[in-house]
Amino acid sequence: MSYWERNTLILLAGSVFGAVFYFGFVIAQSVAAGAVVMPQLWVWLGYIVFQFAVSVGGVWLLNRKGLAEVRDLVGGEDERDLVIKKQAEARQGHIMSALILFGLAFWFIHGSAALLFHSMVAALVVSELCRGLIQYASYSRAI
Amino acid sequence: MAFREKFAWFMVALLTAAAGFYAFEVGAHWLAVGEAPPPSIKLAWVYVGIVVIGVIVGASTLVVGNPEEADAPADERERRAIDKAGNWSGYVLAFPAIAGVLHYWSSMDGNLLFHTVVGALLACQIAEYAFRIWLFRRGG
Repeated sequence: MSYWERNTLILLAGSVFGAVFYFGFVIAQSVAAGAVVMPQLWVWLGYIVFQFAVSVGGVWLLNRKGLAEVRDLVGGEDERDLVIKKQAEARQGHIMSALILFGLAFWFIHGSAALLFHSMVAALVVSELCRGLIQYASYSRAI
Repeated sequence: MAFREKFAWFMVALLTAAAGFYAFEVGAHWLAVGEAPPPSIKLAWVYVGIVVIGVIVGASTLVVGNPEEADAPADERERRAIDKAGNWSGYVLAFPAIAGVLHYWSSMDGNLLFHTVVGALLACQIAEYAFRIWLFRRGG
């Protein structure tokens, strides 16, 4: 597995842990309260800290052994890595647009500001997860 | 001018006109009530209708004028430009959307959050085609 494949997996793991933390809290609190809970700053900040810690910690560990593999490349990436990254990021933009559009459309059904907020966060988080998955899957395809 | 560049110009014009109409309607309502007005499903449908009908009419007209070019798949340079434009427009969407989400804590105004995200979505759509034009002209 190449350096960038492992790097993608680590960032993906960071996003998964962050998403589980955020939506775990939101769902657990909403079930307990019997209604969708209002957004809480500490949960949001917890999500960012969680994702950041897993990603930075993982990449730091990866760099201790795997950095030599890409040290000679300009910017650490070859042409294929760049194409894969750009394609995955472009798909992420489109997935995010579609999910945000769904979130906005659902507002007309539920009319809850809290749910609109959580659906916007979900759109950002899910699109980030999709970017990681697309990028990882692209490494095993001929590009 | 290549077919994809012509289509991008058309989309920029159409989406700017539709977004301008939407912004004018919301802005007028905003000024009248003095705060972010509740989202209007009627206005959203009018916007969607303008874009859908505009794309059908505009794309058909462009395809009739350039049938062979329209049918050809994007070459490598165009694909790279389309990917880059999609990537950059994602940032145009993400930054205002995140700003709107963060601002929600100070305002606690769901209507304002809705309009901020809609604005980001409209700007992102226009930006994607504008970036494509710029990248097609620059050479990918």
